[in-house]
Amino acid sequence: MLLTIIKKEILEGIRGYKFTLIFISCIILLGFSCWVMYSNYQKNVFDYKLKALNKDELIFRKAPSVLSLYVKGTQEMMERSFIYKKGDYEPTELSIGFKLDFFSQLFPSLDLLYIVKVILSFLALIIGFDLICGEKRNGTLRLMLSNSVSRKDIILGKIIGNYALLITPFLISFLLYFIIINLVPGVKFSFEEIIRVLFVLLSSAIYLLVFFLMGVAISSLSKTQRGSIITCFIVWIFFIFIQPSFATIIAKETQTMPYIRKIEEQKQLAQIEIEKNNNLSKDALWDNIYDKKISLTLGFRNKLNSYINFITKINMFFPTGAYVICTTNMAQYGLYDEMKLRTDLFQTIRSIVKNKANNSENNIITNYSIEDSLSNSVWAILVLIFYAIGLVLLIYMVFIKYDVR
Amino acid sequence: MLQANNLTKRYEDGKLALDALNLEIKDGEIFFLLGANGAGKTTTINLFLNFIEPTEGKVLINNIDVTKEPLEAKKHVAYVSENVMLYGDFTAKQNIHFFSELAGLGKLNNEDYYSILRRVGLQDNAFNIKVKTFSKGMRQKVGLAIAIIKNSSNILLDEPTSGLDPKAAAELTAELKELRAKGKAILMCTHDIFRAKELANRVGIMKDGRLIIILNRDEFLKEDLEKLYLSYMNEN
Ligand SMILES: Nc1ncnc2c1ncn2[C@@H]1O[C@H](COP(=O)(O)OP(=O)(O)OP(=O)(O)O)[C@@H](O)[C@H]1O
Ligand SMILES: [Mg+2]
Repeated sequence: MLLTIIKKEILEGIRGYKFTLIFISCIILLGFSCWVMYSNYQKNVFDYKLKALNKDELIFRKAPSVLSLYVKGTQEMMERSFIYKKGDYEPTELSIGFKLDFFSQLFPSLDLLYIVKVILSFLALIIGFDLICGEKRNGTLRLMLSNSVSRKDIILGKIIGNYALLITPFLISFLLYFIIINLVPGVKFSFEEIIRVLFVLLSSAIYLLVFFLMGVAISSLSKTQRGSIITCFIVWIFFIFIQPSFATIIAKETQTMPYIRKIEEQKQLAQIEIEKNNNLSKDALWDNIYDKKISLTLGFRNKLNSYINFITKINMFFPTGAYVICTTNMAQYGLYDEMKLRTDLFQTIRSIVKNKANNSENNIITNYSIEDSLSNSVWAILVLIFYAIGLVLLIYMVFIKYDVR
Repeated sequence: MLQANNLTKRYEDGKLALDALNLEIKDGEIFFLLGANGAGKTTTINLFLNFIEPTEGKVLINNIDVTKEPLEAKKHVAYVSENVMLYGDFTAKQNIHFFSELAGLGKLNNEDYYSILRRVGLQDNAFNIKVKTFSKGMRQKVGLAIAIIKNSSNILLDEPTSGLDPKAAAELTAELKELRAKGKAILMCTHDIFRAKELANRVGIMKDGRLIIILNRDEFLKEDLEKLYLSYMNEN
C-alpha cells in the first residue's frame, strides 16, 4: 500500500509545475554556481602561486582547496596572504589576495551552500505546502480514505514520494556538474575530499528534508492553501534571515565582544611603555615588546574564539545554523578551521622569530583531519536529524486526527 | 450488510446532526435515504466511512465494527461522493488504476479498466485524457467505475446523480440495478424522489437528524411518495 502511494505521488508530482520548477532551478543554479566558484578557485590558485617580492618577506598562505568549489565559508578570511617582514612584530594581512576583486564583495557568493540554504530551502517548503490541505481541497483524500488504507501509509507515502521528487533533481544536477568539473584540468579531488563532498551533500539532503517537512507540517495544520503558503513564507524568512542575526544579537548583548581596535591601541601603548625603559639592549627590547604584543594578541584571540564558540552554539540549535556549521566544517572552511589557521600561523611565526630561523616554507598550515572535521560537525548533523524526526512525528500526530471532510 | 445501531453524532459545536439512527440494509437491497438539506445524510455516510467518530452507538459493515476495525471494515465498502474528485493530472485510466491498487486488487490490465469505464458509459476517447478537462458528469462516471471495480459487497452513494444528464442518470440507475442483482447492499442518499420510486427497495425519510419513517416498496408505491415525503416534512 505504501509503495502504491509513493508511486502515485511521484507520478503525479512529475506532471506538476513544482517538479519542473525544481529541476530547472537546480540545473541553472548549480551550473552557474559551479562556473562562478571555479573562476574564483582559479583566481585563488593563481594568487597562491605568487612569490614574495622581497627577500626578507615571508608569505604565508593557505592553499586553496577544491572544496571551495562548493563551500565558501571562511575562505576569504583563511586564504589571505599573511606577509611577515623580518624585524616586524606581527605579519600584515592582505585581505583580498593580490588581485583586486571589489565587485564580487557586494554580492553573496553563489556557492552550493548558499543555493541550498536560501533558494532550495524555499522550494522544499513549496513542495510541502499543499501536500495535505491541497489533497483535502481536491477531495481525493476522502476517496483515498474510503479504502482500507491507513493514514500512516498515506502520510509516509506522501513524504517519501515528494521528498524523492525534491532531492532527485538536486542530486542529478550535482552529479552532472561534479563530473564536468572533474574533467577540467587542474581540478582533482582526492579520496578524502570526495568523502567530504559526500558529507556536504548528505547534510544538504537532511537540511532540505527538514524544510520540506516543515512545509508538510504547515500544510497539515493549515485550513487553506493560502494560509499555508503565507505561513511557509514567514517560516522561511524567519529561519533564513532573522534567526541567524538573532544569534549574533544575543551574543552581543550577553557576551563582551573583543574589539581589535582596542587591542591594537593597547599594543601601541605597551610598546611605548617598554621603549621608555632604555637600559635594555636593542635585542632584549625587541624581545620584550614582542612578548608583550604576542600575549595581547593571544588574549584577544582567546576571547574572540570563545565569542565565536558562543554564537556557534546558539546557531547550532536551528536548522540553518546547524547546516552551515556542518557543511563549512566538512569543507574545511569553517570557523574552527579559521581559528586553527590563525593559531598555526601564530605558532609558526613565533618559532621563526624565536629561533631566528629563516625558513621560507610557504605553507605552514595543517588542516583538520576528517575525523576532527566530523567531530566538529557531528552535533550539528544530529540536530538536523532531530528536527527531521520531530517533524515527522508532529505530522503523523496531526494527520492521524486530521479532519478529512 | 450495512448496520447502524443507535447511531448518534453530536458535532463539536453542539449540533446534533444524527439522533439515534437504527438502520439495516441487507445484501441485494437498495435503501434510499431521503431528506432535506442538513438532514444528516452525509453525516451518516461519514460515520460509515469512519471519517468521523460516533458520539454514541455503532456502525457495522458486514458485522465489522467500523470504529474498532476501520481498515478491515473498509475492505467491504465502496463510496461514490456527491462530487467525485480525482487527480486532475492523471487520465481516467490512471485514476482508476491507482484507486484499484489502493483497494488492494491484484494485477489488472488496461482492458479491465477500459471495460469498466465503458460499462459506466464513458466514451472510449476519454479514457486517456487528463481528468482535469472532464465535466462533472464524466467525473461522476469515473467515480462510479472506481466503486464498481472494487467489487465490494456494500456501496455508499451520496447524491450521485446530482449534475448528471438524464441519459447518464438512467445509466446509473441501470448500473445500480445490476449491482443489486449481484447481491450488494446499497445505501443511496439523495433528494431524488423520482429515482427512489424507480429503484428503491425501501425508503427512509430523515429530518433534523432523525429517521422519522421507513417505507417498504409496496407502501410508497401505493401512495405517492412525493406527497408522503412532503407531508412528513411539514409535520411539526
Ligand atoms: N463539521 C461539522 N460541524 C458542525 N456541524 C456540522 C458539521 N458538518 C455538518 N454539520 C451539520 O450537521 C447537519 C447535517 O449535515 P449533513 O451534511 O449530514 O446534511 P445532509 O443531509 O448531507 O445535507 P445535504 O442534503 O445538504 O447534503 C447540518 O445541520 C450541518 O450544518
Ligand atoms: Mg450531504
